[in-house]
Amino acid sequence: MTRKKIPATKDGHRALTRVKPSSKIIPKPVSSSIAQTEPNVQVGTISMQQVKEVIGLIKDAGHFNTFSYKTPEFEIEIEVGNKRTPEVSSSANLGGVNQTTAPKAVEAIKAVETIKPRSQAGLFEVLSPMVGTFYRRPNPTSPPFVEIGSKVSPDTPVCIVEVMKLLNTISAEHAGKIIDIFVADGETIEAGQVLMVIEL
Amino acid sequence: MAKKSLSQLAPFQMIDVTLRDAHQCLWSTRMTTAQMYPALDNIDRAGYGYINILGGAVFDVMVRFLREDPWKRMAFLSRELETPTDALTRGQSIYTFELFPDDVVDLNIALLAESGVNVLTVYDALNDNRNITSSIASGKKHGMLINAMLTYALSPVHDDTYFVARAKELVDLKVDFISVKDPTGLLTPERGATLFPALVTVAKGIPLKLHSHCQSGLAPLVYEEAIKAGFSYGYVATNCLANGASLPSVTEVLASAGRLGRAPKMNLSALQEVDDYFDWICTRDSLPRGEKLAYDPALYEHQIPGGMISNLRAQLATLGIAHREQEILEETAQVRKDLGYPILVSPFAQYIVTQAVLNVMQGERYKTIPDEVKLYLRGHYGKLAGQASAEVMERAGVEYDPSQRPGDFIKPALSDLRKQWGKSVSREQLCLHAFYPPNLALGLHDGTLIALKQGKQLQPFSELMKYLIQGKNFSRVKTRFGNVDLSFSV
Repeated sequence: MTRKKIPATKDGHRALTRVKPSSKIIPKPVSSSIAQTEPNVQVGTISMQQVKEVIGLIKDAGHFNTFSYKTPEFEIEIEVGNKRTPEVSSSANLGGVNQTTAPKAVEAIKAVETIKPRSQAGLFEVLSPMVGTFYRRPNPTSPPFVEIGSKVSPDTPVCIVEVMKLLNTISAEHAGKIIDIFVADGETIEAGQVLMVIEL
Repeated sequence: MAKKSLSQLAPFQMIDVTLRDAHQCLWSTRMTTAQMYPALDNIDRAGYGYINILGGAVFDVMVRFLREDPWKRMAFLSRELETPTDALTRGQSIYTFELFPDDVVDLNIALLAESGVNVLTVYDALNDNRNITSSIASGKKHGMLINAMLTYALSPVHDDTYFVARAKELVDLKVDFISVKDPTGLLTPERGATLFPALVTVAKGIPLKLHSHCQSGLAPLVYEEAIKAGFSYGYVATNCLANGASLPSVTEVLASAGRLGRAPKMNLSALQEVDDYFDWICTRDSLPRGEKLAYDPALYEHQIPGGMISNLRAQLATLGIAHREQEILEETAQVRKDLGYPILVSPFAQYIVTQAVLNVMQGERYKTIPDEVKLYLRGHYGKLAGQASAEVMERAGVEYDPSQRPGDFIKPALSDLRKQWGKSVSREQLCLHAFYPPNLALGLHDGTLIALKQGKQLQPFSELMKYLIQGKNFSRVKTRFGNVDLSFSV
């Protein structure tokens, strides 16, 4: 059982079979089959069928205070308390939106609608295009793109904003001198937030 | 050669995706090795031609979220399963969204082969087959069968002639199988009726496989067209994890194959056992089942893959812009056109969607263009299917030049990694270092140990307890089983 059967392909071409490295071989236990001939293998006297039955009953019961199920071999009693809710977290949290992100999302709705740079009186504000992460350097080991006092031209890269896992190199857009940098490397930024100020 | 009647053709065989794409589409790729273990014997005896156990997202989610060592799972599954196993990579991008050098591509494939994987399935999201040549060469060198995929898309440039030309390239690369991969479920029976026979003709006897998702609700009919056209295999999932964004159900496609006189011999009771098992896991762990979707014409507009839609909604909600989803979906259609019709699969789906979000939120098209999109426009990732718009090229400030094979841009990485991590580090670990920063590459646990400890046979009593303690609002549970009394309260 050290090699697999590879089906011959349609044109009769037979695939290579390969003996796996011996260190990888672990013999299959003879009695490894589950529930093939006997669905719902019994352990003691409760079967998966009964488990599903019990759960079906619990679900069908809807709102209840106590639930009990008894057979000679197995019994279960469940009470529903209305004093407090258990804080057992389900493993079904699939990493999508969770509770903790909700308040932030509400704030963000206010912050983001359409963003326009507010160039004023000889100053240009470099704004965050989106909610994201701010980086001052092209990669963690490089020096920052710019420092306060750096001279920039319109196409000088000044920072990177990571949005939805993609990196956006942000250019100065105007020639001038950086006179303020408001955000630290790696900080989370909101849409429209002022990142830097350029003196034109 | 006279055309064979359907019943003269070999049976249409099934390839299982329950351990891979099914949970990628329905459970955000979170199936653990322990959840798989009790199903393996029955999957193995069900009569599948192949069993797909790995794809890009599976590897990545194992490392990033499950923190399971993927190499341990690969070896474990290939050892437990006698049916040949199939692992999918994204060619030069392997499991992630960036390009890797040929030496890393080769190491990854060597490790897959050594772990017992028999078939290397490989695709390039741009259908630039130069991005899969190094994988094909490595797979052959390490004794694997090569299954190369054409990625299906709908656009004015993706006509039958386009796909036939790509398939011809794969024939010249001497692959063992050619697959049609339809990540968004966009194929229709009408399109299959012209495309599939054309591919069968150009494939010149190389067996064809179909891998199509169910978002449009049409996939089971599309599989019938493939069966009629003479395809050899179809990727399918166990019933409860089929449909929705997942692939068609094995029993449904089996029934189609039967009606068309091409049914393979399968063990129906084993299939039922597999399905009963995963149905229980859905109940126990509160995980979703696949639901049949009604035909949705909107899908043909935005073309966003199933896995991506749920992700996108979550991302938009996190960004606080869930209410602009419709606008963003409409903008993706425009962005895709402007970018020369890339196929909406990873990573290009992410590029397009992110660009659409930026366009909508900034109220101006292409004011900010992600660096990856600029690289794409230069041809860094491969040839574009169509032509990018003049506006986007100008705003990106780049020139399109696809003359070089993308892998040639990347210099070999292994010798530096070896220097950095030392001689004693395993090749498996070295490969993880090639893919991930140390905080992710180090400290992965062996999920197979958890699987073995749990066992492959469900213990009904503990299964019931697992269900009861998982976040259900029970204040007190008291149970007696044989001579065991157990009670707990919260």
